[in-house]
Amino acid sequence: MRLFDFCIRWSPLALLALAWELAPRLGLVGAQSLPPLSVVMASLWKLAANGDLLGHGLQSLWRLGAGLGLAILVGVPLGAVMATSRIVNAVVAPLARALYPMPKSALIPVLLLWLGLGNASKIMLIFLGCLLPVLMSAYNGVRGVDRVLLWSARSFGRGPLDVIFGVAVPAAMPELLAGIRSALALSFVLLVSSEFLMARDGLGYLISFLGDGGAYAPMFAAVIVVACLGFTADRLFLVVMRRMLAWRG
Amino acid sequence: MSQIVFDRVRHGYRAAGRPEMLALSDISLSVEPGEFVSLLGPSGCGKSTLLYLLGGFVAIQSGRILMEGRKVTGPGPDRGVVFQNFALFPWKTVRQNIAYGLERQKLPARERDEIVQSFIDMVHLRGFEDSFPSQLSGGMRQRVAIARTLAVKPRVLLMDEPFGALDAQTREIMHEELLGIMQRTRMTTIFVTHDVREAVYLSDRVAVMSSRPGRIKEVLTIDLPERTGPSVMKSARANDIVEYLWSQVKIDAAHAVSAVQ
Ligand SMILES: Nc1ncnc2c1ncn2[C@@H]1O[C@H](COP(=O)(O)OP(=O)(O)OP(=O)(O)O)[C@@H](O)[C@H]1O
Ligand SMILES: [Mg+2]
Repeated sequence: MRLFDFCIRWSPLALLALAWELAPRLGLVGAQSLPPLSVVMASLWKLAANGDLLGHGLQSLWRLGAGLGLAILVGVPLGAVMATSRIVNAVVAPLARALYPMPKSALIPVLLLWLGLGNASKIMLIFLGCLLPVLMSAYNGVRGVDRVLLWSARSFGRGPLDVIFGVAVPAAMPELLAGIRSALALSFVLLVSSEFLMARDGLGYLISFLGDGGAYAPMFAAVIVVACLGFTADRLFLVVMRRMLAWRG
Repeated sequence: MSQIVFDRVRHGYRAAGRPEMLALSDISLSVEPGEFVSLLGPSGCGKSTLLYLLGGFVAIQSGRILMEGRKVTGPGPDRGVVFQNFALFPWKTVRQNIAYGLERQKLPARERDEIVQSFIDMVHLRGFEDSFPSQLSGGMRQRVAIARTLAVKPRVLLMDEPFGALDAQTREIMHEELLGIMQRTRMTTIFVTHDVREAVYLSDRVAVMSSRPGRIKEVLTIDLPERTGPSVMKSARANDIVEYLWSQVKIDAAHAVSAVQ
């Protein structure tokens, strides 16, 4: 039974792989624009073996982690305090509302101009892009917390910071983690598109560099790596999220 | 000296674009140390509001509330509250919930653990120490909430329809447990309910409230013999009191319904 479930689950992916292998070999698509999967996998092996993948991958992961981490570090407290303080809300809310719909990728040329080709421009872009989703989810989550929970904490003698970070934020965790998860997905988009345009390393740079040079098989290999990274990151996050929300029963 | 004094308390709720809704009007009531007083009244008559004002969660608009001679200005651990929907922290285990109030007291960890365990035992939750509230029945959650509040040894206990959501059987068990705790601690208690029998069985006095705006229309002393068990409720005296209070509440419930229509 287990084996059967397993087969059912992975059959779409297997079919896709098969189609990828056969389509160029049967001449349905040009082998130039879509090299067969086996060729791509051979390039992947080479990229991994010569260390390119690791170097660029680590560079990308560092940017992603730093940008998203900063967004969480700033967004969670700010959103939570906004939800509980009228003054902070009055200052931050109009700013957040104005910036929320703006496509953050429009900032790429500006950040390139200000921060150059190094890590700072990418980290800043991811930070700015992820900040609002994280902040909004913290804000909405804390706003939705039953006031009686907050009263409870106060009646046990807790001060305002203790109430916010000891009660409101944990109570808002389901909504907050959902927000962080969508920020994680967004951070991959921002990472790769910014590395296309303003970087000398990183997986996005690797993809565009290989593509520009006409090395399509390794280019597809790098694309596969990015897709797998995004998928794995999301799965890992889900595992952590389930752990943290085990109390929901 | 009375431990709790409500002195001409009035409270209205303001919703945007609507005239103020008067929830409480001219409430005066004094509660003596060790007394068990029930607030009895139909849904929406302002029982919770009155408790929130005494708890210090909602700012008083006019009149005064005194707790041991001092004006109530905010929440404090001297007034332990058990809320209508328990208000347990869902991400904390039973043990962590009960320990929550003690974390602020500078106690050695050993001593704190012992206190927590003694309260877990008191509410018969041994074996459920590491369960989350979502894994407990309604009655068990209520017992956690009571233990969490009692663990910090408040001066007075405020309970808002604590057994309203429980089935009759569990409710009866909880009544016995509560009376047992009260006998041991002699804690002053204000108990909100709309269940007449419950109020009569548990209370020294019952304050009957009328709705819209909520006021106290009568305070009745319950002079039943020593509560030795649920059987006191079978006496003719108890029945008379229940009948009488029921008729008082019914008038208002009918008024409240017709006022809405
Ligand atoms: N936050 C609020 N805003 C506006 N009106 C409110 C608010 N809270 C309560 N009210 C109104 O005040 C009145 C009293 O409410 P309260 O919750 O104190 O009643 P209650 O006696 O506890 O009722 P129940 O037995 O159903 O719990 C109700 O008519 C209610 O509609
Ligand atoms: Mg109520």
